[in-house]
Parts: sequence; C-alpha cells; structure tokens
Amino acid sequence: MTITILNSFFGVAVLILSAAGLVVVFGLMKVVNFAHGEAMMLGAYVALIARDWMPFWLGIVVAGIGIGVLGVVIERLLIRRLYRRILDTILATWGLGLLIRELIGAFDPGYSSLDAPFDAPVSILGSDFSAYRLFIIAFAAVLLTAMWVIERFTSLGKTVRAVISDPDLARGIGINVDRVYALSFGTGWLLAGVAGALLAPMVTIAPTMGGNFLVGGFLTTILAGPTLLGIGPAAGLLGGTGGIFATIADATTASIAVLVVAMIAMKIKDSRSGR
Amino acid sequence: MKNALNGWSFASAVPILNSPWWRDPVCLLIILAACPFLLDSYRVSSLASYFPYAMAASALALVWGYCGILALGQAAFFGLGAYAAAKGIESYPVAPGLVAGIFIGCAAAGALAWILARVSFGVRAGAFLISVMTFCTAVAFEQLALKFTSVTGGQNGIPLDRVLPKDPLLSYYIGFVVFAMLLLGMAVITRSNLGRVIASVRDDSMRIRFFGTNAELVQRRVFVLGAIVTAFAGVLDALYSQIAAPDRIGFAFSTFIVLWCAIGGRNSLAAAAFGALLVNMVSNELSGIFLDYWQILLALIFIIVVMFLPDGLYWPIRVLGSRLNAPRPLQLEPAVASSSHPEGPAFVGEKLIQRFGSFTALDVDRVSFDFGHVTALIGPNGAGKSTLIAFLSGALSDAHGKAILVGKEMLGIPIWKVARLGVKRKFQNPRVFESLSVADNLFIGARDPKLRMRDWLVRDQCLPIPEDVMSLARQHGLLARLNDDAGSLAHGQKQFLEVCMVLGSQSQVVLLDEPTAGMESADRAAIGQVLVYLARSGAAVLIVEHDFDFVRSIADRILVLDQGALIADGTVSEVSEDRKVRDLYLGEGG
Repeated sequence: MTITILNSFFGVAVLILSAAGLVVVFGLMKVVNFAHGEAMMLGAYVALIARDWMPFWLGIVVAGIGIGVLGVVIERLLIRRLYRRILDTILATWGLGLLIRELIGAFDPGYSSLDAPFDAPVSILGSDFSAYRLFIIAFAAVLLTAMWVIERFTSLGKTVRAVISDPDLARGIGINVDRVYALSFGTGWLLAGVAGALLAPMVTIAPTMGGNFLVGGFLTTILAGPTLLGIGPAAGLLGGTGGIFATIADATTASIAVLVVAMIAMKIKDSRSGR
Repeated sequence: MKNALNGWSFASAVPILNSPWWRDPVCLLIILAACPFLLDSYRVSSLASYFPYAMAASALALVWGYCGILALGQAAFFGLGAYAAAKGIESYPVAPGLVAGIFIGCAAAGALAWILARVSFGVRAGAFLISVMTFCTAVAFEQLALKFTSVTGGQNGIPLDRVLPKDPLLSYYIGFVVFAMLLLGMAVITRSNLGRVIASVRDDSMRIRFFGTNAELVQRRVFVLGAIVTAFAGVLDALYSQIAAPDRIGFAFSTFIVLWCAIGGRNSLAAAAFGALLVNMVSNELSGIFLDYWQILLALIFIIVVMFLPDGLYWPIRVLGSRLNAPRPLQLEPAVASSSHPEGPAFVGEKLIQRFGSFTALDVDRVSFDFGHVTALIGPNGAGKSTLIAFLSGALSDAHGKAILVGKEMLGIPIWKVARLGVKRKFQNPRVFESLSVADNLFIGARDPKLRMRDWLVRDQCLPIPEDVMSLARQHGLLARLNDDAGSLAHGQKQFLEVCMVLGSQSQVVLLDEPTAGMESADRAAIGQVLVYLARSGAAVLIVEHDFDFVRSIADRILVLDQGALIADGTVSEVSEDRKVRDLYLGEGG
C-alpha cells in the first residue's frame, strides 16, 4: 500500500517535471512544443556524457543551461517566424523533434543507461523505497512551489500573467513581449533539459525516449488550463490513475487508463465551463 | 417564378473559374498507369507496395489540407486496418477473413476517430487539441501492440501468406485500381458543395457557425472519413508487405505520413499521394548507401517546407495551374422572392444578464425589436452593444434571462442552431473566408446550411442571390472579381462581401455590428438603402451604429444602451428628445 502511494507520488512527480516546460511555453506563447520530448532526451544525453567529466549534479546544471540556450536559439530561428500560426508551430516543432531524433540516432543507436547518484533504499513506514525516487518527488514539489511563488508574488509573475491574459495589451503597456517569448521558450527548454537529466537514471536512454514523456506532459498541460499552477491537480489526477493501474495491472494498461481518464476529465471540464 | 422587382437580368452567366477538380488526380493516375512500362519489375513491385502510403497521405490531405485538422496520429488508424486484416486472414479462410478484416478495421478506426473527435472538437477547443490527442493515441496504440503479444505478435507482428497474385504486374494494377477509386472518390467530395463548406471550416471554423453550419459535425465527419480511408490503406499494406507489424501503428509512422503529405503538398490530394510515392521511391534507391543521412535530410526538408513552402512540391503546379485553368461557368441567378415574414416582435428579451468575471456587460430588463423595421442600437463605447449582438447570435453561452428569438427560446442553443432560426450576423471587422473565392463566399452565405446527401457529391453551378444583394455586389466590383480569393480583396470590399453574404441568405433577422465603419458616405448610403429595402420586405434588421445622421436616415426605432442597461427605446424623434440620452451624449461631447 505504502509503495503504491509512493509510486503514485513518483508518477505525479514525473508528470510535473515533464509538463513544467510545456506549460510555460504553452501558457505564455500558445505554442504547443512537440519537440519537448526531444529536449528532455537531449537533457538525458547531456547527463550521460557529463558523467565522465563531472559530478552528476553539475551535469544536471549543464544540461539545463545548455538545453535552455538551445531553446532561445530555436525560438529566434524558427518559432519567431511562425508567430501565431499555431498549426505551423506544431508542425515546425514536430519536424524539429524528428530532426533531433534522427541526428542523435545517426550517432548513437541508444539503449545506454545511467546510474543514479544514490540509490540506496530508504525505509518508509516499513517499506523500502528508492532514495532517488524520493528525491525526484521532493524536487517536483519544490519546482511546483517555486512556480507558484514566482507567478503570484514577484514582478516577473505579474509580467507573466499579463502576457498570458492578453499579449497585445501587455505590449501596449510597455512589456517587451518578444523578449518574454524568447525567455519563456528558453525556460521551457531549460526545464525540459533538467527534467530529462534528472529522469535519465530511471529510463533507458535512447533517441526515441521523448515520446512517452511527451504524452504525459501533454495530457497534464491540456488539463491544467491557462495558468502555470493547474499542473498540480492535473498531474495529481493522471499520476494517481497511472499509479493505481500500474499496481493492479501493468504499465501499458496504466498509460491507456491515463489517456482515457484524461479524455473524460477534459470532457467534464468542457461541459462544466458552460456550453 | 422570377422576382417581380427584377430590374435587370442575369441571363448572361457570370463565368467563374473553378479549378478542374479531376486534373491533378487524373494526371497522377496516368503517370502511375504507365509506370510498369517504364520501370523494372523490382521497382514496380516496390511502387505497388507504396500505394497504401499514398492513400494514407491523401486521406491526411483531406483531413489536414482541406479541413484544417492537423492529425498527428494517423498511423493508429493505419495500424488498426493492418492488424485487423492480418487477424482476419489468420483466423478464417482468405476471402471471408479479408472481408472481416476490412470491415472490423475500418469500423474500429471510425469509432476511435469518432471518440477523438468528440473530445477534441468544439467551440472552445483550440485547434491544437486534436493534434495532441491523436499523437497521444498513436503512442498508446504502439504500446498496446507491443504489449499484447498473444494477439498482435509483439515486436514480430503477424506474418501473412501471400494473398495478392504472384504476378507483379497484376498485383501492381490491383493496388492501382483501389488507389485510383479512393483518390477520385475523395476528389469528388472536395469539389462538392460539402467541399466548399469543409474549406470554409478550415478558414474560420467559428465564422461558419454563424451561417448555420455545425462546424463540429463537419470536422467530425471529415476526420472519421479520413480515419476509415487510412484504415483501408492499412489493410492493403498488410497484403503487400505480408505482415502487420508494430512499426506501422506508432508515432514514428505517423510522422512519416505527415512528412509525405507536407512534402507533396497538403492542399492537393494527388500531390500528397505523389509525395508519399516519391519520398519512398527515393528512400528505396538510397537505402544502404546513406540512409541515416537521408532521414536527417528529410527532416530538414520537412522543416523548410513548413517554414517556407506550405504547398510543398505542388507549389509550381499551383502557380502555373492558376493560369491554365479552363473556365467553368457558374451562374448567378436572381433568387425567388423570399417567403413572407411574420409580423410582430422578432426578439423579446427579459432580464438579460451577461457577466464576464466580475464585470456586468449587459443587464437589461426588457428589450425587443420587430419584423419589418430597421432598429438601431446606439450608445457610448463599452455600453454593451456588441455584447447584445453577440448574445442575439448565440455566441454567449452563459447569459441568464429569458429570450425569445423568432418565436423560439434561444438561451442554451448553439450558434449554428440560432443561425438556422434565420438569424445572420455581420461582424465589426470583416470576417470572410479568405482562401475561398468571392463566388464561394457568396455561395456559403446564400446556401441552405443543412447538409444533404447530394451535397457530398454535387457542386452546384447555380447560385440564387436576391437581386438587391446582387446589385450591391455589382456596384462594388465584387462580380468582376468572383474568381479571386476573398483574401485578396481590399478592406472595404471585404466589408461589402460580408454584407452580401449575410443578406444573401434571405434571413428573417439580420444583425449588423457597425457595417459601415470606415466607409465613405456614398457607400454607407448604398448599404442603408439595402437595409431599408430588406426591412420593407419584412425582415428584422438590428444595426449598431455611431453616426447619428446615418441612423436617422434609415432607422424606425432606436435602442440606447449605456453601461449594459437600456436607457431609451423609441422612434428617432422620441429618442433625440429624451433627457437621459441628451445628457449622455451632450455630457460626453461637451
């Protein structure tokens, strides 16, 4: 029982980590980033390569900064030209994801693995649970809290909320919306890089690893709605569902159950907000 | 019976250029029919095995290029078809097994598409939602195929005995005929009346609802149709490749379908099919030489196409083709005079309240306007005029109160149903269907919004339009530009086009939100004249207007709104004498 609950919490944490970058990019720019999974994959590869050169933690920082800078460059080269053509941004990021997968795939067939920096089981209420997974749960909680504090209480948060609710008006009152966009796309990729690097020890590292993260991230983002904070309850619902079904059935059934629950929740949310 | 007010005749048809719908498919099919005589037998059988891909790409062109639904999980449908066929042939004798496979595969794909459509299309759903949901579904289906090994054969898939004839030429032409039939069938739909509606849904899926089209239903039907065609392509693929494998159902294969369609040209069924055949033939030639780099190159080409060449390889043909098109006349004919309008109030609203968050945009105790009159709606900025127009057109779903429009309670009715009560709306900024020709725009405005069976197959070549509307269109140069894209019109012409579209449907109630904004006084007078004529013939006209002189010249009755409340209601002279109105305007003006 304890293990099921802890695993569910871990599932929620993975969803929060996968969705955080997506939510920032989608909430602020209305861009659905289909290359987000590949950004996470790149983060995992940076962590893998950094293993031989530096401590694990430094590798995560490098992954975040490196992928974040890459995000800013991509915003400048690609996304900015497709401003407000929402279907074209989907296609461009989708093509970008394909390109990154193929590029990495040409050099690395994949299936490497990375050891967690600490993996000793910790005893919680009589059950053993991986310390690294506990750390991921704690990290996701801190990330969510940090996003909440930033959005609610800082001047950066005010800018963010202004841009989310009306970009044109925000531009009118002197907010440099272009810079906000570049920064938010960079932040989205930074978060993806960190998430990919952090989760790298939990998965097999391969060029195609992004897809599964992307599904969870997308479903969470869509359920979350327009604010950054909605990902908390959304990830809770989907992660909880996944955790339960992973225990009573298996991982595949769990991912189908998550998809179905997400669809039902979307439909309920839709009918609740009026017709 | 011709209209009695027939001042001039349209006996001489106004020619309209319609691109010949069969040109692209027939050209492609002629080339493909000749291919066995040009290529060696190895390449012929490769090409044959790409027909299913071409079908899937064409189906995506229908769904994405024509209807604007960016479906990123088409492989889920393709794979369903392939697995159903393989299971059928594995379990039964070949013929009944294949029939069962086709039936079950297409039905399952259709049902899955229907569910996805129910979740992803709607007034408030973003255009991206279907992309995300189809993507997630494709990933989930790949996991399912890999997981349930006993049913799907897991990683190895389900191998099949050869069902198609051994003769490569014969098996090529079987695929060719099936492909040709599907391609031409889809081409017929894209050129039909439904095809025009589909394109208008793509251009502005919100605007088309105000003409009485249930855009959600159109999207759903097109998406389900595309899924069924894709599943059928999957069946054929299982027969050619003699296996149903998990690499046909997942998100990687979905990516390829999108890539073929984009590179070939999403806006043409034949071009998308050509893209699939070409990319696969080239991949086939290059396989073993530098396949890894070829995939990278393809991804790069895809990004370049997305950024700069939305028409893909079809681009030169579109540019050249627009000069080569043979004219196909479409007649504009005067409409039969509309049926008599009822008398009395067109709309009665009581205790109407609309709030946006904490802001009350509309709080009206009682408001009404009548058939047979032009009623003007005036008031300062932010008074709630546009809110009332939006409410009357059904666009506000969370308003409270009691509202009887054309004899029906209208609260809670979706926009397209309100429009079918005979209520048409002109927006403040012109909203026309920019990629459709002016003629097709007029057609969309004038047509009966109900979709019938014949609309799937037939393209009407006759357009009945009320004569006063026709003369308005003629005076403002729209008839001379019937073949041009509406997007290429000047702003003022778009205004007139939208007015003509709204009036063309002979509605009982016409709502116009500042239709003359930014127009010269002569043009205003022309529109005013039509509105007065319309009211004389029995319709209820409600117009938002700032220019009081213009209001005075056309309106029988004036409603004055201020801060969401109705502060005056009466004839022009009554209202201009009204104390509150004078305070409001004089207080503001000086």
